[in-house]
Amino acid sequence: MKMLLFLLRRFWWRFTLPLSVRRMQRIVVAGIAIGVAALLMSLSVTQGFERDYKKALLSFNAHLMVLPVEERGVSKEEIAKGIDAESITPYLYREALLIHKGRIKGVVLKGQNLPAGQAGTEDRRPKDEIVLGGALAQTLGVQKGETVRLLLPNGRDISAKNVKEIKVGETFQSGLYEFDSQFALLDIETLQNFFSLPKDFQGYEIRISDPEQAPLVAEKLEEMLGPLVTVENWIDINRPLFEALRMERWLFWILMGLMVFAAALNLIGAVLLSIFRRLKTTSILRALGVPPWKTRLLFTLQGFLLGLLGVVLGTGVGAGSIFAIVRYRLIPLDPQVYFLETLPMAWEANTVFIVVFSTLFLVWVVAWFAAKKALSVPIREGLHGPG
Amino acid sequence: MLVIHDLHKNYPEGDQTVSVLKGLSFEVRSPARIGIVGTSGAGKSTLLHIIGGLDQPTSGKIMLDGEDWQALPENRRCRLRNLQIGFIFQFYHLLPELTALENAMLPALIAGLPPAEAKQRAANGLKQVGLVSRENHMPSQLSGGEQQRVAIARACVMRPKFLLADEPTGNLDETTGKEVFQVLDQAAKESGGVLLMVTHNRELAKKMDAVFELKDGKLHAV
Ligand SMILES: Nc1ncnc2c1ncn2[C@@H]1O[C@H](COP(=O)(O)OP(=O)(O)OP(=O)(O)O)[C@@H](O)[C@H]1O
Ligand SMILES: [Mg+2]
Repeated sequence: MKMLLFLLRRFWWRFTLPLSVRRMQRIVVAGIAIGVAALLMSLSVTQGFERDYKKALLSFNAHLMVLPVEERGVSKEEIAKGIDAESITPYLYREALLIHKGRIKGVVLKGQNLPAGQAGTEDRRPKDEIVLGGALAQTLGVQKGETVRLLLPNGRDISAKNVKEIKVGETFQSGLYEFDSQFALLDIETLQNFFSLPKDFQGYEIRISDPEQAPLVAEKLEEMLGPLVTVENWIDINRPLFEALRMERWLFWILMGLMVFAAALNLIGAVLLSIFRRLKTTSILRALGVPPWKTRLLFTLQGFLLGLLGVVLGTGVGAGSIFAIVRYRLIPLDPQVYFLETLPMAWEANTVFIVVFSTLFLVWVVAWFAAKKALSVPIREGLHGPG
Repeated sequence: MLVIHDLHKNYPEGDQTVSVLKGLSFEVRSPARIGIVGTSGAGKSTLLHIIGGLDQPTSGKIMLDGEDWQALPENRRCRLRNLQIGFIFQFYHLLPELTALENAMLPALIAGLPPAEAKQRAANGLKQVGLVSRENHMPSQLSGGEQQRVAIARACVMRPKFLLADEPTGNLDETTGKEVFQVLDQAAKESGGVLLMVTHNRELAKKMDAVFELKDGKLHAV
């Protein structure tokens, strides 16, 4: 083994191969580097989307939603008995039209106990305020402190009693355009009054310590609360989104993986060329008693080193680009399409690990097969070959 | 001790076969210095390659110190070649990637000796062939005679029992050739093994213990 490393070091640093061969080696290294960087970057984009969507969804929605039908009220205590929740808060959804200065927009009204400032404080906002999504406020041209009108859909009755006026408080940014452009928050009691609903008519939003467990907890709750109560969870609600993201991720794996594969196949050419250019050296080594498997290993390692260099460069370039794109927000997005304002990227150690090691494995296999050629020429003939 | 029994070597040539060695038998006990002469194309190189395990005979048996070359598994044969056989070629065949010292170290590294010891041995070898000041030269920076002396140092670094030299002076001028021969001769004496030297130079051949001529695929004492 020491002998192989000894030779490898000399072969690597004493540039005895012709320039054309070294140029080809550089192209192979660059190809692998580009492939690995592209794979890492595209995967980090899908992971970034997944992470940011999750974050936004979770910051706006609870993990579980308990929705009773009208006849069966559910109390907070009833829920708390069955599961280990971090918080259980009443909420209510209703739809309405928001009207301001001649502009009309359909909105989802969410009634809840609005916290005044930071999350966790017990203070509630004034009951006569409505909090609009940032994008929604912008579309309607509403400023803080102005008054807007809500048209409530109560059957066919479009009389004055179904038009409510309410003052605009803050706006909120959830991170998802979909929410910011459609949602308005107001106090749950105000909402119940607007729609003349009984005071105990409400659902509950539940937060749990491990959001990934939501579907399981939901199942348990549903069983406990009986058939009249529906329990939704954020994962099932957003399943199409997550499935699309997962699909996208597989697509990137396959496409960019093919690119890496093609780049790795280039290695065959580089290894064969270096074997041909070192035919004499190889034959001398074999004549001196290097066994066939070590001869093959010598050329495998040479190819593998090229691959390794490519992987290291690719990982470096990928990491650098991801860092720059995230840090300097280099790639803005259209929030109406992507719900996000800049390209999100997430650097996940697991993914990097898998990409790096599967590429190295691939490179090894390719190099090992190509290196077989080093044994194909009889020693006698090889002694008079090039190199 | 080297024993060759009924050695045949055929090369396919088109749809015919050319017989180069035709039932060659030969036996020599160490220490011995044997010169082999013969016309071009007689099969001298072929014989040396087969003895050294670089080529397979069509049939026949070769015993090196009681070990049957053909019966050995490949890895063992490589090991034996590394430890027991020193090759010296007409065209030196040094690795262009390595310095003189590194070339001379190579068999010791292949044998698995620690690099420090390999270096020590190689340095000693280069001293014996008078190349101390050329240790760090690349082969391309050395003259033909110097390269051949490095090759001799390399062939001797594991103190092999069999030195196989294929026209070691064939590519050198007369004076340099004599110098190189002396180095080789000295090395053979020290190793106490068998030196087989192919040469066209009758004068050098005369200095050997015995001379054989390869003719019609067999060895004949001269
Ligand atoms: N690989 C081969 N295929 C076919 N014929 C070969 C091969 N190698 C050698 N020969 C033939 O075998 C014969 C002996 O070759 P060899 O090289 O052993 O001769 P030699 O005695 O060393 O000659 P020289 O003094 O010129 O070096 C030659 O006729 C050559 O053409
Ligand atoms: Mg010859």
